[in-house]
Amino acid sequence: MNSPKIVGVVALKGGVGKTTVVANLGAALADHYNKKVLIVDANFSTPHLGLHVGLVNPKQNLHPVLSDDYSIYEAIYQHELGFHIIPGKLAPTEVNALALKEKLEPLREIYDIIIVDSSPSLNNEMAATMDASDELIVVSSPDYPTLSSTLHAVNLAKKQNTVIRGIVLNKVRRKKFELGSKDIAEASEVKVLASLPDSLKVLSATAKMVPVVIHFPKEEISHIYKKLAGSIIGEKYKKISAKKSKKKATLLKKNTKRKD
Amino acid sequence: MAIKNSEQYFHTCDNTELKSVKDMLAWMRESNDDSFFNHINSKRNDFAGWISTILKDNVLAKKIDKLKDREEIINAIEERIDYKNKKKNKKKNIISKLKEAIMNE
Repeated sequence: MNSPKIVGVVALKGGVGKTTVVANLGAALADHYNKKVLIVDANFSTPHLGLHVGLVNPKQNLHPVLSDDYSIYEAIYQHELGFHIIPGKLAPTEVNALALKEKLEPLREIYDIIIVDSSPSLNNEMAATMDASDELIVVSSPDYPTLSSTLHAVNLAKKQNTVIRGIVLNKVRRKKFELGSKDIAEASEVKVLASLPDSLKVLSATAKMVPVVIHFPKEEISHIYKKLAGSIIGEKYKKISAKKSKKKATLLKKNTKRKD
Repeated sequence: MAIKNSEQYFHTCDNTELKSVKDMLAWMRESNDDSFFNHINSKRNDFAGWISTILKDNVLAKKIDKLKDREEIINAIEERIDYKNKKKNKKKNIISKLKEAIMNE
């Protein structure tokens, strides 16, 4: 499978961990693989990607870009961890979601990979992400309600002829009562790319507004994230010293700088 | 589910290797009284221990441990296998229903 340029991360249910996955993949690709990465908050109604990476109330964001009030380049923030981010507006207004594809197209030349965080609702916002993406990653968790939402998302993507790279199974507790990767892969007919454990470290990192791959680089979940990130760009994951990542985490005190 | 580690197989006194509950059930149905009661008698119940420590099924182990009659033991094992199969099928049925309802929209 070729390395995609724009990857949409979708889930048709809130709280599954979609935004956490986007933040961590972005951080892993920039920090571990030295890629030029842009993460985009296309969850227009409830945009929280910025809050996962220390960007609390950004002046510029994607909303006015979609209304042609600003150029998309003005909404790009350069993060200390090496990736770039286009945040959403915390107090959202109505947007022309379907303009997303057109706005992202010129950025293909600049970045190695663009990761788009989608809305969890079956509406124009999700359709916009599907339309703009070369491939989708569907985030799920090992329970029936989320499986139901995952099947909806897979079905929708198939109808739109959007390639699904695979499913990321999140919040896995490895309990007998949970659905397994095999159950989910068989039901959806989509490969499960990774099983991420339900780790308190993720909550702790989120509270610090730092992706867990940076805040706790030695944790099992961080290795899984980095391996997953590598698989998306076709590179094999090699473990490196955690010191480098930890140093970068301390830089977060400065949070972010906008790219002018 | 069959055990993969050969050191954990149950070796009966008539030199049969048991790798699963199904193997054990088959052996209990076919073995002669001497062999059967060599493992289950008033002083011991070797199967209860194996089921608990190796197969990790404490529910069945406790049930078997109280029984001495061959038919009763066989029935208890059959019931347990049925229960587990139903549980497994219930999961499959739910997934299948979800898939049918959503993917064929």
